[in-house]
Amino acid sequence: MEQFQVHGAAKSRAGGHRRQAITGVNASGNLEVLVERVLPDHECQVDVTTAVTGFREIWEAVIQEFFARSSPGGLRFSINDGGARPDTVTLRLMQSVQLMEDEA
Amino acid sequence: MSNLLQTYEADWYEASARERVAGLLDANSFVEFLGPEQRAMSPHLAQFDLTGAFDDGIVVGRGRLDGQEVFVAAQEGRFLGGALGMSRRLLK
Repeated sequence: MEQFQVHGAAKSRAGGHRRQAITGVNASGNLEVLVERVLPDHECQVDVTTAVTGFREIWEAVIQEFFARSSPGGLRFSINDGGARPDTVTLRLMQSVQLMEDEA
Repeated sequence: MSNLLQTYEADWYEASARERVAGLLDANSFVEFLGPEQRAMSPHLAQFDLTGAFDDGIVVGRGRLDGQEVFVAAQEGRFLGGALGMSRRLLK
């Protein structure tokens, strides 16, 4: 198991008004992402807990790419990972931002 | 971006425990007990070097079913086979 944080800057505040959302399941090759609107508008952060050690550099590259594409300002993401591939991680992060943008 | 991701349709097999609860109950009526943001997670998994789930793989709360107030629980079978939340959260 390995744990670390990735911090980033966002150009703008993430859309929508939901306070939190969760997507995905911690299972083999999958991950769960809990997202909460708790940070200042131009900051974002991902807390990673992963079952697989030794891939921190790849995580950081994937997450920084996600920050650049989605600009999720104000959002803190918390991940419980069961060995997901980078494309699955990107998908879940983007799904979680979309959930925050949804109404109700 | 949004349109690419909006291909999901309700599917019992694919749905998570949380999605099944939301799909069963009257819209927006679910109030969760001890939600994932509380991070009330089992302390035992880390001892076995296992990563956990923020809700221990079970969703518990109350809501309305066709207008009637009901209590509801759903287990997430994909997280450790649904075994953990059964032992922990349902007994609280």
